[in-house]
Amino acid sequence: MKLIKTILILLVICTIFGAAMFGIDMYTGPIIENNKLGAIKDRLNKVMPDAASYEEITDQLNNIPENVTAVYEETTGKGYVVLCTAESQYSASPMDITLGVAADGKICGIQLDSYTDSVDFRDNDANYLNSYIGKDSALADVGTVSGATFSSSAFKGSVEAAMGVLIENDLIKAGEKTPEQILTELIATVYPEMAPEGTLNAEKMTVSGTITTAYKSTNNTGYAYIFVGESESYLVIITPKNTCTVYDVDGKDVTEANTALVGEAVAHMESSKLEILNAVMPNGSAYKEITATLDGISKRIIAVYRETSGLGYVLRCQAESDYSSAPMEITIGVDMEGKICGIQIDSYNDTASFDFREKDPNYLPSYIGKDSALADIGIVAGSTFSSTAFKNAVSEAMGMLIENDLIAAGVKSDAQILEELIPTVAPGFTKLVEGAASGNIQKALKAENDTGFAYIMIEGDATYLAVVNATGVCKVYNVEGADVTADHAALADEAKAASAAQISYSDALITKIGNMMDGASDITALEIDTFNTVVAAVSFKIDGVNYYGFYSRSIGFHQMDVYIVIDENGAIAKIDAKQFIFDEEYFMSFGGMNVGEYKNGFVGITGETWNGDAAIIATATMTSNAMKESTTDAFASFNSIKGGAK
Amino acid sequence: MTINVILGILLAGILSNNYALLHFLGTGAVIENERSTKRSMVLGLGTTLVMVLSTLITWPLDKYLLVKVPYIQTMVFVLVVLVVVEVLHLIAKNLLDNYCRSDFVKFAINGAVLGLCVHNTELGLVEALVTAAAVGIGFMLTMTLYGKLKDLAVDEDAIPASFRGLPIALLTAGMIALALVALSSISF
Amino acid sequence: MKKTKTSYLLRGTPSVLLFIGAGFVMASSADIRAALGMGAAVLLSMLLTSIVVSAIHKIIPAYAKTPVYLMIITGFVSIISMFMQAWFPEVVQMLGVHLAALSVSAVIYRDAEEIADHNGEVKSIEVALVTGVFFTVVMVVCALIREVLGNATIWGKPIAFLQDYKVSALVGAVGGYIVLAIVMAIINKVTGLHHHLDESKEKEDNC
Repeated sequence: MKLIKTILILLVICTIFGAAMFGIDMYTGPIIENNKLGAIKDRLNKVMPDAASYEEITDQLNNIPENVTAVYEETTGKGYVVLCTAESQYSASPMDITLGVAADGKICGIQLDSYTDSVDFRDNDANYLNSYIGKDSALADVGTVSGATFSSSAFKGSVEAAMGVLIENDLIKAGEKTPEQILTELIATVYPEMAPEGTLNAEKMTVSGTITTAYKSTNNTGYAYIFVGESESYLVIITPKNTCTVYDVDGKDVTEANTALVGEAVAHMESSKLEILNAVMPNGSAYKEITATLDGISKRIIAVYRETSGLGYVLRCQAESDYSSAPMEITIGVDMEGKICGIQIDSYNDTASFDFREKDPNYLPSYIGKDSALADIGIVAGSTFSSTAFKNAVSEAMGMLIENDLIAAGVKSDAQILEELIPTVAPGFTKLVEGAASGNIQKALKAENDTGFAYIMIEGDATYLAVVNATGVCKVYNVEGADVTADHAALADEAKAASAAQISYSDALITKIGNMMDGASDITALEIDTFNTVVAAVSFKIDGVNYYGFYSRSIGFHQMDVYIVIDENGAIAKIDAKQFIFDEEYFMSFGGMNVGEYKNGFVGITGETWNGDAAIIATATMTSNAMKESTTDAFASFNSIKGGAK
Repeated sequence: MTINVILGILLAGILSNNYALLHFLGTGAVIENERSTKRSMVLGLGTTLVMVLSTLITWPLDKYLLVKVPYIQTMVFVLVVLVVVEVLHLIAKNLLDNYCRSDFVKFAINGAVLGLCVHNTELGLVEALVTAAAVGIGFMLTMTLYGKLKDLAVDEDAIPASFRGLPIALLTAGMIALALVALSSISF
Repeated sequence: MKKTKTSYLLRGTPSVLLFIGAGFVMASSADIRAALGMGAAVLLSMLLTSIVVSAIHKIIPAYAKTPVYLMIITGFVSIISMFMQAWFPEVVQMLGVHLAALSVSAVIYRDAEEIADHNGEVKSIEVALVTGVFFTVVMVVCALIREVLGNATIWGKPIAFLQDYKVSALVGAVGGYIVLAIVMAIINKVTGLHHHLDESKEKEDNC
């Protein structure tokens, strides 16, 4: 009884209040709505500027995916605004996206707020967001941004989901994807090798016949052809192994029923390949592949062709340097005299800023007419790795032709042979720069790191190479590479005279030793007969014990100045350098070197126990290599001092 | 709902999400507590039960019925809590009255329970239930703590006269809150 | 803690009441607008409840008192909060759930149960007004301290020269406790009210 009475009273009270609140809500409801809207109106107006006012319709819709937070309808029928979020694996918190869709189903505005990913695709591609305007739900031609693939895919996916909500609830019409768009997007599904992470790594080729679009992959994964017909459209994929598959718009394999398409695709591919071959063989017409018939084919050779009318051969090979994501493809045409008649790069995958074709537009043309000696062809400064790889690939390719007796070997001139001898006899001379010729000196070269000079000299009708090191010692070599200094003292004197302008580092070393070693006395400069990176050497005493100091100018990231002191027993007493790690070597500051510990690591090592390990600095390869070179050279110079006169 | 998440919520209910000390919900009940430990714990457990049951009922109510009429929310929630408490009271009348100095009904309907119900409408059902349990346990622990604190022999003369009673209790609560704030990642 | 009728005005009860009501006081005293809003809400709801309860308390049977009064309070608080949402949305934003939690707050409830239940309208209104005003004053004083010193703003507008010196801890949970404690201590001292002792003033320093 009590309970019932209580409940009754409660009911009465609740009804009264309920009714009152209902009445009040009629009055306050709209005001509250407006307040809520007011807060968000600014955000909505950014994507739909001429809107009158909005009404939230989120709760009236079905199947709202998780990332769509709210949907607003513009009250005068202009369209809809969807608020959604996007998250990729690199974001700390979701991106906020505001999407304005006009009533005709096309995007009229898009806004991105609250971006916390590490890479902002708006920086990589300023027009990316704009590319969405005017698109319908098919989002045709809207891709992802390279360098920010994850974020931009997440972004695109979110926009797609948002438009999907509107379509599902019959608010806008779905855009239609053209068959071409469907098939292009199909490539990533059926042949992901050509489109890793959803981005197509291919460039378009010129088309003919019934082919709508032809793609040649830029990552050596083959070809893709799209045929758009009146009623049906197909995608043909040709892999590097020449397997062909045909897909329809649904992704089904329909190869057997469409052999005609395969034929056409293959024909186009062959003709495009033919184009490449013809580009390097002027007047060439037809070719026969002879790769299988040759010996000594390295895996860098892709294919070898003989031009059927006897004009010569075409080689296709690869070159890879440390900095390329995928090998460069090179095509070389060689005529019957063994001279290069055409050369081009088909697929350049190195970092674009190192493209030597841009740095030196005359580089490739300089190969034309050369024989396998590749005389006078150097490498391109600023693109050393790529151009060295390139030159080596060409040289190797031609070497293979010679080995198979297809062409005659080119002949190198004496001067060329001697010049190529320099790295062997004077390994410390890096970066040779040409100077003025005079007298018997046909060609004068100076090492940029001041380690010495090299001269191509003529005596009578023979050519010789004279090298002078930084301490003024000279050696002469003939074309066979033999040391003939004793017989050509005149040449040696002339070479030394020409090197008189050499900067002497002896004084600098003497001062340095004075500072570096306490109690050093009797510091005397020495002449050494090594031709490495050591530019100066001194001997001195501390407390009656003999020491030798060496100054090496090896090249690390920049020019280095390394000082190494070795005691009379051949053990390193101390090392130092002007600067080990250069600021420009690393984008962020280098935090991994304890200089004191590093220097101490060298102490006590002798020529026998030296194995290069002490020079290693983690993640600083160039400096490590330079330090290694300096130390090895110091030991070599030390040994030459001990071996010869003191 | 991994075990990690559940444990995290439980821990939060005691520390970083402590309703009585950090959110000022149910503070009165907690600070005023002078009951013995045993009574405090029983009372706290009872409140926890009320919280969980209320969440169980109010969450679906809010999600499906109250979406259209948000202004009725408070009344409905209070009604629900009232009903739950009364039902519990009826079931365990003897037990509860033995342990409560004042009416259980009046005690259990505090700001913490209502605040919890309102906050839980934003979470998923399972999360809400776990949060309810966590907050309840936190509430119980805090209450017991306070009961114990009041038991401790306090040198009345050491406290300045004007600080005795409410101010010192508040300061004590504040010190504990300070410690909890350090543990929470929410910036207030 | 016996409360006689006569000791209600300015004696004993406020500090006792604050014990129970400390929650929403601290929650709303972070900002002056919030304090005023909450104070108004408390005042109004106490007023309205007192009127209604003192009018009908004779016809409600004893066993029904708890739920009925509770619902009445909830109803009035809901109505007030609806108006506040429409007219003062920022205040409601700042108060959050505490506005709704007022409806189960022991302050109003105890007032309804112990005062309005036994007295006529006039007395009830009087007590409600006094308590309400008292709470508002305490809240505004705390809010002044917390907002000006803790946030360097006043009524939401930043104070330029104080910006560098603001003590953010005051605005958060901890600040609430400390400021209220100090304010209450000052009130205790000023009005000579002590929780356990009699009216004799002590010469203590209060900090």
